[in-house]
Amino acid sequence: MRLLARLLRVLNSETDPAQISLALCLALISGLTPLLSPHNLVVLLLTLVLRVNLSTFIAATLALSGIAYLLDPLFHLIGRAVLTLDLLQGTWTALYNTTWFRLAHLNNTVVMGSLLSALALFVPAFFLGNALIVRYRLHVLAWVQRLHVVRLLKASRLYQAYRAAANLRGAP
Amino acid sequence: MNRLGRFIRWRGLAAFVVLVTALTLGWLLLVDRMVKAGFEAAGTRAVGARVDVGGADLSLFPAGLTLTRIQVTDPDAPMTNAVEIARVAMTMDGALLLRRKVIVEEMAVEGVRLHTPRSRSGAIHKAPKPAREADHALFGLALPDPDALLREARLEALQAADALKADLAAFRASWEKQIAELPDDDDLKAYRERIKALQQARKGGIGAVLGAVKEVKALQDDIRADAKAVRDARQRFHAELAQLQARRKALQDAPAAEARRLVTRFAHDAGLEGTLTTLAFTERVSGWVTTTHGWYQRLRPYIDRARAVHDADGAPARGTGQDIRFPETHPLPDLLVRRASVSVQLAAGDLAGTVTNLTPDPSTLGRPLVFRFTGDRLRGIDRVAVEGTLDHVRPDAPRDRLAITVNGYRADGLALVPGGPLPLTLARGRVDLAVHATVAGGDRLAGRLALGLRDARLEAEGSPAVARALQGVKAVNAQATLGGTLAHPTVDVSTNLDDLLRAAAAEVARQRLETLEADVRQRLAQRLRERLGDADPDGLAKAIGDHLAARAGGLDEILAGVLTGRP
Repeated sequence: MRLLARLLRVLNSETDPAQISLALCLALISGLTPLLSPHNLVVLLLTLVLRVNLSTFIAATLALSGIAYLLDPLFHLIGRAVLTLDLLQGTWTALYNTTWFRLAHLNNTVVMGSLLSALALFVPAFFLGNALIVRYRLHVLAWVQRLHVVRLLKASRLYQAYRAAANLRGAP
Repeated sequence: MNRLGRFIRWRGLAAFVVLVTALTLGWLLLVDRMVKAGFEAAGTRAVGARVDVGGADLSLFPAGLTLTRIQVTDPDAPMTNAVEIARVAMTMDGALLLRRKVIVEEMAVEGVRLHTPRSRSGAIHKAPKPAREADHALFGLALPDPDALLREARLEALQAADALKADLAAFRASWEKQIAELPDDDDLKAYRERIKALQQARKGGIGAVLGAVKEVKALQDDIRADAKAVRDARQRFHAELAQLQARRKALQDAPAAEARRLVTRFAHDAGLEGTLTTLAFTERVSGWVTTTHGWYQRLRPYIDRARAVHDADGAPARGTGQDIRFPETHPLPDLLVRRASVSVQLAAGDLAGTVTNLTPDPSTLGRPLVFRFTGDRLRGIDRVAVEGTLDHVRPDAPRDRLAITVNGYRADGLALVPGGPLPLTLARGRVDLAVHATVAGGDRLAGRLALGLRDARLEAEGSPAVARALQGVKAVNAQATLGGTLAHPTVDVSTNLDDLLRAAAAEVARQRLETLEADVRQRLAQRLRERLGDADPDGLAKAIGDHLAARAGGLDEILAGVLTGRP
């Protein structure tokens, strides 16, 4: 719940939509692929080094890990189809004989299928996320802010005290 | 903030380094426990009973692993370890570990002990013990309950008794009806009246006399006809009665014949026609094959795991996927122990040996698993050698071979036939054993076993007959030919004691079977008596036969009275 609250606060804040969308896209990889795969170390490095929103990344990774469990048979089929594609046998054979490919366990159908799916969704998800966040802030957030009850709540002493405390803790 | 700073969070790099370092330290702290738990889980799954590991120590530079106090529970005896290993130390190829290949260059397996006691049960589930085969009990000449034998048998005598009883009832009814149709007392009385009337007619004139002669002739004809009918009926009665009496007589003899048939069949089914030594060795050898088969089946997936191929069918377990394999420049199995040095501690001393090319994927390696163990100058044994190959290089045509040689085993007090009514003990002697067995196609068993006893003194406490037969026997040779399949082995055993013991065993068996036969005979006779009740052909002979005889006699007497004029 706390994570969800922070996520909502991020969405409602002035944070750049690209930072949120990129966090979501990186979470696609770490969430949809097996969590302990070596390539997720690279994803973690990018998440920490690039200025992406960490709350979004953590929340999305957790949510997508659950979804990935349901999509596992689909990833297996995709991975198997790609790894057994006649056209790519030469490439896979060459890669199979490299240490990094074996270490990354990319000859596994689920790892390959989920990674390819995540990479394929990466760019569309970035732009779609950006667009949705902008529209959310423009329409939904503005509508919520105009609600009478919200204006009353924001004017209350309790909310003012909470804002002051949040600002002191450096929350976005 | 410069342009790069808008995108890069330099503190994040430090956070990444700290995070990865923390994860690595955590892994290093926990890896030994993880390895221990992994070995225990995989071992327990493979054996079907608890596998415990005392401790694990994984080292990265150089790559190696040491496991201590491995206990493998015997699934058939949960309070006993089938194997206990004091220490296993191995060195691995570190570079190949990164390629997910565990290649153990050298492994030392020290302090292997067999059948050690456990402090707590190693059972993981309670499996019902398979019922012992019937022939085990029969081997001990355990005779069945006579009533049970009679219950299970299809008793023809009892069926014949039922049929005889029904036929006797029908016979009685039929003859009572026939007797009613034959001349009775009233008819005899009428004949006497006619005779009297004729005697009175003699006193009349000549006409009356001539008429009386005609009457006498008619009377004689009538009486003769009736007498003939009675005699014919009596003849038929005795003929039919004789058949029933013969059947009754046969029934009297039936218990003895039936008892003999039942006991003979039991003796045949029980294999009592064989000799004790043949049965003893057959049981022993079958037991060895069965035990070997149990372990072979448990370990088979780990010495002959089918490769995951491109066109493998069936969905894998969720979250695991399927590893697709591609041709390798230098093909190697995922797991391989190139050479393991093993020392086995037996009560008699140490066996030392090597196992090479231990892998679940021999077809990739292209070489079979080879093992060889030897022990010299052990206590009570001159030499032991165990060697063999498990050749699964061609998964479609596996061929395994085992050779065991034991020389000069001092088997004083060895129970050849333990317990039972005829225990047979090797009081003193030296045993030489040679076993050669092959398993082709994963199941087809073929082999030979030769066992020789030298300087032997055999004792049979339970039977003087067997003890007498064994006097003077100094050497015993037994040969067994193995065949069939691992699941259903056939063992054909012959020994030089066969002729000696056949007579003694037959004598013992005969005495016991005679007792059984008498018991069965007595109980069957009692049953027949109960079944037949009062149905007795002799009773009918008296009741109906005497009646017919009296009637025939009466008619003859009247006829004689007619002829003599004295009614």
